[in-house]
Amino acid sequence: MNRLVKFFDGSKNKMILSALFFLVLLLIPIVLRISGYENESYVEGVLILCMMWAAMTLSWDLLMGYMGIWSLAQQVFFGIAAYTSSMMNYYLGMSPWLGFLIAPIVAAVVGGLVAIPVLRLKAAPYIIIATMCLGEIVRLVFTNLVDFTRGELGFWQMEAFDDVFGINMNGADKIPYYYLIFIIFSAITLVCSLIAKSHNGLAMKAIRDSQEAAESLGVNSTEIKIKIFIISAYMAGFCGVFYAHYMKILTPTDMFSQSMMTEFIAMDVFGGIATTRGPVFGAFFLTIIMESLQGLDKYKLLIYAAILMITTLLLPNGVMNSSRTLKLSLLGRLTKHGRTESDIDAEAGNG
Amino acid sequence: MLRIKNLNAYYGDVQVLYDVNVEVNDGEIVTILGSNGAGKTSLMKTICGIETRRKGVIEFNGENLINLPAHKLITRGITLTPEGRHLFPELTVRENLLLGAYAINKKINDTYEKVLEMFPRLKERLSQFAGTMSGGEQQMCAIGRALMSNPTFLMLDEPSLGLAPNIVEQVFDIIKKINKENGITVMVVEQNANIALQTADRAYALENGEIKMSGDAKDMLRSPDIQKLYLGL
Repeated sequence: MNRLVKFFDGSKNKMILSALFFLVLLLIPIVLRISGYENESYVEGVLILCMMWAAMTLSWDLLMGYMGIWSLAQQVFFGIAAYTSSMMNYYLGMSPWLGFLIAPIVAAVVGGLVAIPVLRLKAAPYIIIATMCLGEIVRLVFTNLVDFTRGELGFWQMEAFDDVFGINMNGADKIPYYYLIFIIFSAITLVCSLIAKSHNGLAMKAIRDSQEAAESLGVNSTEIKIKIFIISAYMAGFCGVFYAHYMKILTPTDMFSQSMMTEFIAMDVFGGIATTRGPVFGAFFLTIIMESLQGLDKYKLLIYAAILMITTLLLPNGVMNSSRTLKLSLLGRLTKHGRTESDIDAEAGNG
Repeated sequence: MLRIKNLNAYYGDVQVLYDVNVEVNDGEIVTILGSNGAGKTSLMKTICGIETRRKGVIEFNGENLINLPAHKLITRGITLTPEGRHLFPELTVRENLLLGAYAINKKINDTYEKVLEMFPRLKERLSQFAGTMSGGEQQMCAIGRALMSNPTFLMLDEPSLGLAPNIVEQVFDIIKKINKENGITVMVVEQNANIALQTADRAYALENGEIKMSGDAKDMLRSPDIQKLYLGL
């Protein structure tokens, strides 16, 4: 039994698997191009979406998974960065590449500002209400500031990224965009897993489990929360800039309403919170499922919902935490049989 | 070591502590007795600066802590084990212990070994999730975690909570051992007056946010008022 428990813990296996995963992602376009596959750009398009949503879900998981802050405003950071970059391009004629420099910083500033009121709330429901309202407020502001944001008309036909190093970025060939989001996605994955493994990663989980105890051990929860809000928003900002100049269409409803946020929640919870693999798996799996159900049209959402429900019932901690779920139940069974005297005493004492 | 003078504390506008004066000397075990709602936990939280607004003087080794934020306290050598243990249930025992030394920049290997030596049961369960252990083990883990920062002053909030009587005795034996062998000054808040008074050197009785009685623990154990109020005799 113990060996079984150990096997599921094998962090070495996990390292090899993730390295393999990134290698495959890196090679897919090359293989497709060489083999002359006719739906090449479709497959690449789906994978671009997968990587973008995975990066977004990862950025949100830092807040929700690791720290237990149920902020439902991740799409706001994404949208604000997308709008900032588009407006810089539209009004000032600045290159979209400059968007990567400036827009994520704007998103991070917004993230820091959001953190201040959210920090004053302790219980999840209040945080949910406050951050949902934020999304609505931003949506209404962007809808009604017509002179500035073009209202519900939104921005479209933004400029694509300028060509760099002689690579044509006009979008006819998806490969440059594929590798652009691949770089963003890998960087965000790396940063998230480094944070999770760091000194502060442990403190973040401690805040999630008991803020009071964490503080009594010297964890400055205010500082960590604000930092993570800023980092998380900054990362979402990168995805936003990419989205703006890849999709080339932005409307307030698309960017700031809860529908996008709901997908991040589904992906994160489905994949497994407080892991790096969970959000990535959830985003890839659910995006690919949604795409492959296109043909079923009417029944698409029905099947999607069924998959979500079945997995949450069978694997309540998410697919990528299933080994942990199993481990917990194994250990539970172990202690039930090999119960020590103190356990029995404790139970008697509680009763 | 610790001198609390005219401490008043408030949750919002509601006052919960009224001019509390408590003194703890080097090397002592001091206990604060009180029934439900007497303000014991509020006193602990107020000393640490968690949740309450406070006025007064909290002097620790000559330094006034009244404006010190909660997370800085540990750097002065003070650690709190909160009521209900507040372990991190979804982290392993090892991670829980390591978090105890979160604020300590020095090498912690020696302390870690010492803590495991003191609690052999924890050593067996290092990779187990803390939430899956029995109540007694969790209390040991909470105390072990508090010791990881090498404190000079340990505050324990209701260590007997939810434990069977013989486990409570074990916990208090450990508290005595920590005090005698490691020279750590202990302040323990307890509802179980009997065992607290047997363990402690001095005691304070708290009622409705005010200190009603104080004195030598042995004398308090024999005092008719205490016997009537807290020992049910």
